[in-house]
Amino acid sequence: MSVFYKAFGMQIRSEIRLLLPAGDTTEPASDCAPDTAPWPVDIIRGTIPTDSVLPHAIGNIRYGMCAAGCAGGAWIRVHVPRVARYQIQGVSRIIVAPEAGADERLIGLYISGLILAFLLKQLPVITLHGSAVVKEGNALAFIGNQGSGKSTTAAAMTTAGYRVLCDDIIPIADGPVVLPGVAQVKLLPDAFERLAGNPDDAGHLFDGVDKFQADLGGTTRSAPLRAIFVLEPDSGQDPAAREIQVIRDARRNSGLPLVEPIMGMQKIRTLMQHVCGIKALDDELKQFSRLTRRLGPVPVFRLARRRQDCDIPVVISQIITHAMEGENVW
Amino acid sequence: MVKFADSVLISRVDEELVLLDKTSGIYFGLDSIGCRMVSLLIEHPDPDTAASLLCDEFDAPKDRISSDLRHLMSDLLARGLIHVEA
Repeated sequence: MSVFYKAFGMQIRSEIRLLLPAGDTTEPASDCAPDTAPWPVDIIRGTIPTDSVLPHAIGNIRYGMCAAGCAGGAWIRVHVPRVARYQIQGVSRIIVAPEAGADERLIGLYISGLILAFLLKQLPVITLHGSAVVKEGNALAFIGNQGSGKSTTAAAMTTAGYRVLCDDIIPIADGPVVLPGVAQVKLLPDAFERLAGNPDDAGHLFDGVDKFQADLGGTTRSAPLRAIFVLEPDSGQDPAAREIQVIRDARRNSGLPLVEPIMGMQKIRTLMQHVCGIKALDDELKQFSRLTRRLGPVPVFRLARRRQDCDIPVVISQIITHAMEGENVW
Repeated sequence: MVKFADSVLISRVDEELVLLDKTSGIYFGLDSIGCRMVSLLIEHPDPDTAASLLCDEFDAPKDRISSDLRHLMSDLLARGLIHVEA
């Protein structure tokens, strides 16, 4: 039996349960992406030949592709050991061959993130690593290195009336508009306890990573991107930031997080560092032109906060203040 | 004639000209003045003509502008971001 989902600007019909917002075929296209109909994607169970060489790797996951001209058309094959083999056929079909004894939730988890990220690479969508929230039709995105607090910040924003638009992958279409993705955030136990309750009740431990899934109220409506915040720990160790150390110290003493705009080349370089990259699939030229055109006009801020302090309300207030400043640009 | 190298991707962002050298993967930024200097060097093969035009625009001594132009050009040439065609 198939289930319908709506995410990443796609209308997905899947034989496998995914971690995506449910959708139905009757909803208007404007809910998915403005001016474009949702992209139809079918996910079915099937068999995938195991004889092809998968020359590329992300950790222990192998992948390879065959351009148009192959028997059966262009495909990308991904092998997640002990979970499944996946074949992305063109831009509208994913075949899944589960491995014997594989956990169904993991099979769906990989589709909801990694496999759809492969598919998005073939569509005119920029994908950033991070989380996004929305309020009153305005989306804010949080990017940063692993452990910088992207999901926690998105979760914290829900206490100020924001709704989660996507976690882990931020799909950005023309506009720029943030498309809804996985609207449940993955939180570490302490953040879960502060923002979502008892992690023991979450009942979903992610694939060996000590994080819990929190449903804090998501949305399936896309929204214009108003500002991007690059989260970083306020360690003061970054040599490139020495010149602003005095300002950092003053802010630290005042208890406020440091928020400063990033402009021009620094902005583009920072954003490019947080694009979801897939080796051998990325077209750097296309990526650079698309990113500068689409995200060049969006205000970007660096936000450095003290990790040890419970300064969430202050961080939220700073984000909202700067996001409103950003709105004035539009 | 001054031209950007084929390996350089260019985009204007926040009043800056952002250059990405595909070969090295290094980003460069030219502020609005640097950007104007490069534009004039591309439009006017003779650096002296470019310097005269910049003098009018920025109301600065020609010697200083010529020196800044030479520095910028040699810097961009050394980094392989531009080349000069005969």
